[in-house]
Amino acid sequence: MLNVYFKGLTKQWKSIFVPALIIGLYVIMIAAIWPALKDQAEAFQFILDNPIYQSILGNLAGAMFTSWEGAFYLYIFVWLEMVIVFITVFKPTRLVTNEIDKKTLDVALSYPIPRWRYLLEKYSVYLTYNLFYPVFIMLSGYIGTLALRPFDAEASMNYTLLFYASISVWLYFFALGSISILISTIFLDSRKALAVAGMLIIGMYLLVRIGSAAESLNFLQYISIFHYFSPGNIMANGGFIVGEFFIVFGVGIVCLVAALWIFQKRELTY
Amino acid sequence: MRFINTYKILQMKRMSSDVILKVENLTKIYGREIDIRFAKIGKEVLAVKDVSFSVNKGEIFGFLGPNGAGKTTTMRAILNYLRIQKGKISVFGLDHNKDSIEIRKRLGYIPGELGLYEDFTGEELIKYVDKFRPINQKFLKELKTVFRVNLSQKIRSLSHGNKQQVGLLIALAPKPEFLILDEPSLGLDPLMTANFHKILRKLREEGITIFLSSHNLSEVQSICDRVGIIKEGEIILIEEIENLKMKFLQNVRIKLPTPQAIDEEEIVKLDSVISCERVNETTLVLKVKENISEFLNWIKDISITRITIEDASLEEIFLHYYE
Repeated sequence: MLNVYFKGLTKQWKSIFVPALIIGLYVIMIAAIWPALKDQAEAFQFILDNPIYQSILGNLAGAMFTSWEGAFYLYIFVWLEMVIVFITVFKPTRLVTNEIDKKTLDVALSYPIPRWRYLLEKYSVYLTYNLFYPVFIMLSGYIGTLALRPFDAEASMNYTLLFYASISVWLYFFALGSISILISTIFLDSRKALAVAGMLIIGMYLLVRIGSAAESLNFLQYISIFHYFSPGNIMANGGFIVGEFFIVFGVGIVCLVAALWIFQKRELTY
Repeated sequence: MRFINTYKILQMKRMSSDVILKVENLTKIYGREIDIRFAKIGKEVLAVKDVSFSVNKGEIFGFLGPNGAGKTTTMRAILNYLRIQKGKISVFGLDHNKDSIEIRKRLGYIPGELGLYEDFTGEELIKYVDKFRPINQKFLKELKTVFRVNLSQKIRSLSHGNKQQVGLLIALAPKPEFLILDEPSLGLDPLMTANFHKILRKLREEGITIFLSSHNLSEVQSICDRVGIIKEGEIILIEEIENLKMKFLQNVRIKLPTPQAIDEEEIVKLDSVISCERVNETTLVLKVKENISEFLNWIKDISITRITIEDASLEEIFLHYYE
């Protein structure tokens, strides 16, 4: 039972656990420089109000750099979106294609396990390790805020919102990862899959930026997953956005089911 | 009457249970050609066409053919990795597509291009396989003495030959009822190959069925019971190794007492003679197929010092079919 899953858990811990840990440490570093940075925060905010920066920040444009919470969101989630893009393009796409490149798939699938389950167990390893991101964001947010109190009495954090924002990070890993894995099962070729997944995911990331740059291009945001249930939206809304959650989750589920079905049914020519 | 019918059914069931693998009219085309109004897009490549054969319980069936003949395609179709256009494949009497999980519980496989998880050690790999197909611990011990590869080393640090040994070890150790081996001795040194053949013979004695493809004709000759030759996607011959050697091709060496004017072209005109070569003035070497009596009848009037008739090697037979 779950042999592929546990094999992956024991063998791949470094590849995903380490980036999550780095993000955790990054927050601690920001907390350490925040007391010094706070005095110049208004000047930074003035720069960030520039329309170009506002479009770069996308949905996080509403976060105010003048507060610890706003700075935390800007520092963490802006970078994290890029990390999500990078990981979701490379990691899930290579779950299958890497086995094809290394010629291990034929032997792996000769064992009595349905192909869909084999893929699902492998994907579950990726999803499990990505749970470390929300966990480390929450932990580091809490520790960072606590550590700041002696230096900045106003430093506070809405942990409920931070929890929702952390969920959104994992949800992006899931939805975008499912898109990537769907593409990889369609092509069964690492280069093609990486190219298509890269174009699609980076394209969606850019659409939100382009869409928020000008009002006339606003509609472009709606065809990007990054527009829905983003940490910026959660912060602006001040709560859980049920409808957006189900849009992102739905895309993830549909793509994952399609990927499992295709992998089960298609022939393995490579 | 009723008794006879029951007997027949029982006999048929027994016969069918003795056949482990049955491939009927297997046809596989790669790619797709789409006919649009003015042109055709894509390309179809016929990999195998109407391939039919069966492998019986407890036999080693050799599958011979050059690169691209369709050996691996056939094997991958049996494993349900490929969608076939036509034909039927049954393993243990089960449908290769519908019952593939049940089939895989009882099957071991080594692909032609073997890849193993590089970050595993041999021992870890054995433990991993054990969870899918329980390893026969007694047999594993025996295999460890034969395949003298360091199982505590990471796969990535092993040589190609040692990786192949680990691959064979994990395929054989569960002692599955049916083994599909695509070029299994690739990369093994001669000593290891000989040991591996011993193991295969032992497995055959225990009733395990083996379907193997190989480029190594002496390997096929020494361990296989039957052989199927595939050429350009079509089976051109299925025969027992012993019959193949006796029935199909013989090397005849004739020593003449004095240089005689034997017309070599005349000999080659005989239906049974494929070729005739004069090695020196008094020695002729001929390749004779099937009906050797025709040739012996012709030669009886010629004075000869000595005649030796040898079975041709599988290699010669193979080349005969391919030339």
